Amino acid sequence: MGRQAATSKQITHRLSRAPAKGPTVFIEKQRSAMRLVALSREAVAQNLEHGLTLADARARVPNLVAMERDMVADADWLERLADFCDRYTPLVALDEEDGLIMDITGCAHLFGGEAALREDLAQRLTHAGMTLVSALAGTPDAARAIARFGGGAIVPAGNEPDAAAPLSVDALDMGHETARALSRAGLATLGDLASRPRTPLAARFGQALPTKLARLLGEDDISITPRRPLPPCTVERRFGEPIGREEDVMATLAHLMGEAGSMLEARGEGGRAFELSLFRTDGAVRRLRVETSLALRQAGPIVRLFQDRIDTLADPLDPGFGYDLIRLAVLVSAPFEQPQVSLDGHQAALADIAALIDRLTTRLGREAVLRFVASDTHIPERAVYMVPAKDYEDARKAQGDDGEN
Amino acid sequence: MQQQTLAQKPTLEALKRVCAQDQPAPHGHISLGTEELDEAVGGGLARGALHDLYAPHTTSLAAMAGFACGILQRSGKLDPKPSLWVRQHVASFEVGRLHAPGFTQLGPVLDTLVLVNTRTVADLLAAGLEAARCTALGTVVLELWNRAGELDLTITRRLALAAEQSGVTVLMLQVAAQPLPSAAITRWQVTPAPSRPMAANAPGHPSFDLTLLRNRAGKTGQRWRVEWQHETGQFQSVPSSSRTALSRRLVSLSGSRPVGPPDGKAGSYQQADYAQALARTG
Repeated sequence: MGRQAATSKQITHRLSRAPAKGPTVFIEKQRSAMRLVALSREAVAQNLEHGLTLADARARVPNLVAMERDMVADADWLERLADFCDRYTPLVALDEEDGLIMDITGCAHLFGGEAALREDLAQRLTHAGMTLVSALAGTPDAARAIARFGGGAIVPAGNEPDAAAPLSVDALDMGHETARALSRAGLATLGDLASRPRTPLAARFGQALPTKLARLLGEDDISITPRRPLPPCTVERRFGEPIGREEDVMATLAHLMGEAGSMLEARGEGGRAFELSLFRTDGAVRRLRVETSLALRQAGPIVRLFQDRIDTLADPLDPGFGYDLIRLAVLVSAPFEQPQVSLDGHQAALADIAALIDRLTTRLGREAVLRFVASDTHIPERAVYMVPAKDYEDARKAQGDDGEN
Repeated sequence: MQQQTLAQKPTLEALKRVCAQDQPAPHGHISLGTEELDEAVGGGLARGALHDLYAPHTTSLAAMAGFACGILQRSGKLDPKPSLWVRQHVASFEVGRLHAPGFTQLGPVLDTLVLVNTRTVADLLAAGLEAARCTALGTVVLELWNRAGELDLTITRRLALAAEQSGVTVLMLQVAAQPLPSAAITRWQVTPAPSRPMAANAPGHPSFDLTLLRNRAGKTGQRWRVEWQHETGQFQSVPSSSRTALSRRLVSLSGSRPVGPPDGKAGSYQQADYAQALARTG
């Protein structure tokens, strides 16, 4: 597994909001008292701690700035950070409410190696006012534990047991009871656990503990569940100097679509849904999506659909200081049927109708352009139902299959 | 003079253009199935042109849509191309959604119909214009619900030009609106008419009262009463002798089809009729 693990690296970081000024804490009502749930560095320096009641904290530090915790805003911010991290790898997962796990297998070399990637990430997030703790390791659990309980590091491949050994048993994340039981037995660190036979541990604490331990020590690898599914085809362009004009974006899109088209052609496929992601230099990400009723791979129609999409945005594109990464993903691909050219132009007419439907769908929305599908029933109000025109062929096929059964 | 023009650019293209200007309907006509109507508009509704349909008040909307369906069917018979029906979202709430089985009875084949719902009139007109430019379509129906401020000569002229170029027939349906100047070739007012019962008092064919308000190919102001024969798929004019005489005005409580009042005071008539009908029943 040695070399395999060398390329299979995960990165985790913990986030906490940079304080505005003074000892700032976030509070939440827990166990019928307002308690501190997040603390700024100044607050920690004043010996305040997590779980302390606000009244006690105020008694110790009279000039405490306390703010109610806003879970929704936190989650939204984390989502936006995850969007930002999409620039490093398509596989990003949320970890609890203050962490992200990224699978950077095969991505690190694009940024000049693991250390450079970590450095770049730290620099950009620090710039955005974040405090970051990050770790790279062979398995997601090991990277997460080292970031959350070990202060963060880059663990060389195969070195996970040594890196995880000094961590406290809390890193197992098996609950307070288990952690206390283990420390009562004199097992304070993961190293203590690793040196013991696993069977008695399983007998005492259940199979979950040795499994988790194996993952932490890098013996057992699992794949993360990414936030967004991995698209079948992705092309992107990075810019040293950010671009901001819409014409440049569209020209880039045409280039990207050309590349994606030849990738799809090699597979004998066309795309049914396309997503354009515009990564701004300041970290904001804007995504635009278009769908087509036929599988397409020519650049022209797709670029035109995106142009329509941009023209009809209720919230227009704001390039800010410019985009430094533009990515085009083919979200759904389907076998490309090369239409046979008929003398009466019937095929060309079908393609024209499909293009018109796509343009109207892009402009007015999926639910606005409809077609009727007859259904095999004697109930009048169900005899015919409406489907988005884009999905008409699929719906009709499905209906035909039902009818035969 | 003409020799000179041709001498300057003696191409077939130029000659074709000169000829096309003289020909009133380059894409042919949609025959309505009854000679009287066809003759009045110069051989049938011109294809590749804009036609206006007016319903004087909301209760005539269904009749107008029915008449448009008939035209769609006649057009589809001529050339089986798909049709597009664009309507405003609000119309669904006000008068209900289009009922597909009803469509099939009035003619259009469901497989070839695409329905577009738009939020605003501007969207509707933009979608209509886009569709009018698509040569693969047969007919486009634009159903305007509100008196549309956006609807002016510029947009109707654009629609007419696009239709002429692509050969798509555009029907513009307007309800409870005063006819405005437009670039349409013909304009019809459609109101519902009582149908003639068939044998054993079975419900008769759908009937319409048509008034030709505008006609580039001839006279205006004629009135017809026609019925839609769905077996043969054509309109047939009803001779005045066989029209049903009603002893009094009949108002259906459903509000879907009161017999239209003769003049423009639609609102007051309707309310009075409704009140009367309520008084009679309850």
